[in-house]
Amino acid sequence: MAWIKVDAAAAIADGEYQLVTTEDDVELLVANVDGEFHAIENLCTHDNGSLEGGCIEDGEIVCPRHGARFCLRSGEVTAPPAYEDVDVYPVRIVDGVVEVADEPED
Amino acid sequence: MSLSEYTDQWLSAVMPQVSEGPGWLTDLRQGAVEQFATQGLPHARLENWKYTDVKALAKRDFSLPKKVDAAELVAEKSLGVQGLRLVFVDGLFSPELSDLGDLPKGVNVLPLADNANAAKTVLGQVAAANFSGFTALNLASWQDGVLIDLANNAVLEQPVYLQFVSTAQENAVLIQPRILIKAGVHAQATVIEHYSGAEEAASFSNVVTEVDLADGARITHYKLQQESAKQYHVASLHVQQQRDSRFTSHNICLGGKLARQDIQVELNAEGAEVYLDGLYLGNGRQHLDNHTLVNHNAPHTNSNEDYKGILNDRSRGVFNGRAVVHRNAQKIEAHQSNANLLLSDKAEIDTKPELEIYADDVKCSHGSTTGQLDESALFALRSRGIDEAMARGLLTLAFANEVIDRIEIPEVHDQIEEAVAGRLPEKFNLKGLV
Repeated sequence: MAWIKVDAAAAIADGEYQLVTTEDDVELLVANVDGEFHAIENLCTHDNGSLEGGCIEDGEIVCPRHGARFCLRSGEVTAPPAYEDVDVYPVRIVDGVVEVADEPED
Repeated sequence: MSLSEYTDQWLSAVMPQVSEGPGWLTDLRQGAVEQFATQGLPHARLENWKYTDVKALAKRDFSLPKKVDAAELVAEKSLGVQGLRLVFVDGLFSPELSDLGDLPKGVNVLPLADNANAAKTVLGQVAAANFSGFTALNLASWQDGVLIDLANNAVLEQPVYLQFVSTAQENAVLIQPRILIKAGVHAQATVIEHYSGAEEAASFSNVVTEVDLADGARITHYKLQQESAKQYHVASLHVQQQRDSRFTSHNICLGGKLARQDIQVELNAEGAEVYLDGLYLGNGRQHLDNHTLVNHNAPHTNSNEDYKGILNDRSRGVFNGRAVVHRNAQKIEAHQSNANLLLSDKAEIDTKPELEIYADDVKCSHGSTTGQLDESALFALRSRGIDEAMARGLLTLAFANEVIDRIEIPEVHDQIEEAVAGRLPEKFNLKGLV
């Protein structure tokens, strides 16, 4: 498992996120939720589209197209029209820089 | 970066090739450049690309290939098929590694880069530049390829083996072959397109194949894609058939990080028939997409399609088989089947067989299945003393063999069977047993 540098932790404000792509072409959404960083695959399992543009509410990202919601901590789907969870990726902070793993949590 | 910026970046990469060659060709290329600039690369909002996202591919930089020596790699990856052999290293024809042998009367097999004028009446006639952004990009800047021209009644007994090998380069390269097959009245040939690469090769192959069959012509086409796990492969095969012609396609898709194959067949006159066989096997995070379209444009035409998929780990498969029966195409038969075996909880298939019928006297069927190995069959094997891993392997290979066994060239059959067995999950790897 390799770690990908995202950005300085200070650069991602609470309630905001950044996108990063792994070597396997998986796009990840790395979000700051109440000072904790979490990463999920940037994919709405409803229509296979991107979650980019969605806002974060109560630790969940809301799909900007149809309103499906995914928990940023667990990847669990919490609101239709999506019914499948998304993958969650480990995140760590090294010297103030947010890093994300290139393999999902099991 | 916006899509237009990607398009500009890609256009500037291929521009050096656009002005090469005779006047008619530069005009054709220039038209395709404009088409590509308008169309851009496909995106997920297009129904045909809904499940295959090329956004990550679009962001990558590619350079143009240069001639390199790859004799060892070519020998290692060869299927060892007897007959004519044309080798392309990073998409460029390699005469020293090829064997054009003695061609029978009426048969011309010409590397395209040096013989573009011979292809003037064929190039771009079957594959429309606007089929997708990738097709336009290929027409704008194909580097090399082959023209197989069969005169009326010409019969090529031995297969034509087109071996495409990608090498590991410091900068990933964009490989764009163009393959043209023109079969005259009652002409016959077998063509094998084989793609493979060094383990570290990270190139992008953008392939377009055009096949034109005159009355009574018979072409058997093999497409074997075994590229490395870092390569991208987007290909489209366009076929146009006249009266009583027969086209058979065997499409085996094993390699690539992202692989997309389109097949478009136009059955334009009575008696034309097409057989489309396919097998895709995904491991890791591979994404394998097969889209086929058969247009029944005339009465008494037949199409038969059988695709099978095996998906393991987190791989993803896409199958879309569409048959369109046009208003005057009475008494046609169109049959379509797609079966999928999922070996892991995380593997996924999006399958959509489609029939669109405007005539009222036709025989059509289509179906799609997705499932796991049959537990009762597993039990039957285990009750005969075969351990579980071996039993799972045997059943999975048996599923694939329904397609593989229709491959008529023994060397290709054996190597594909072995390659499939070698790619099954390690716990039931059958390599060496088949």
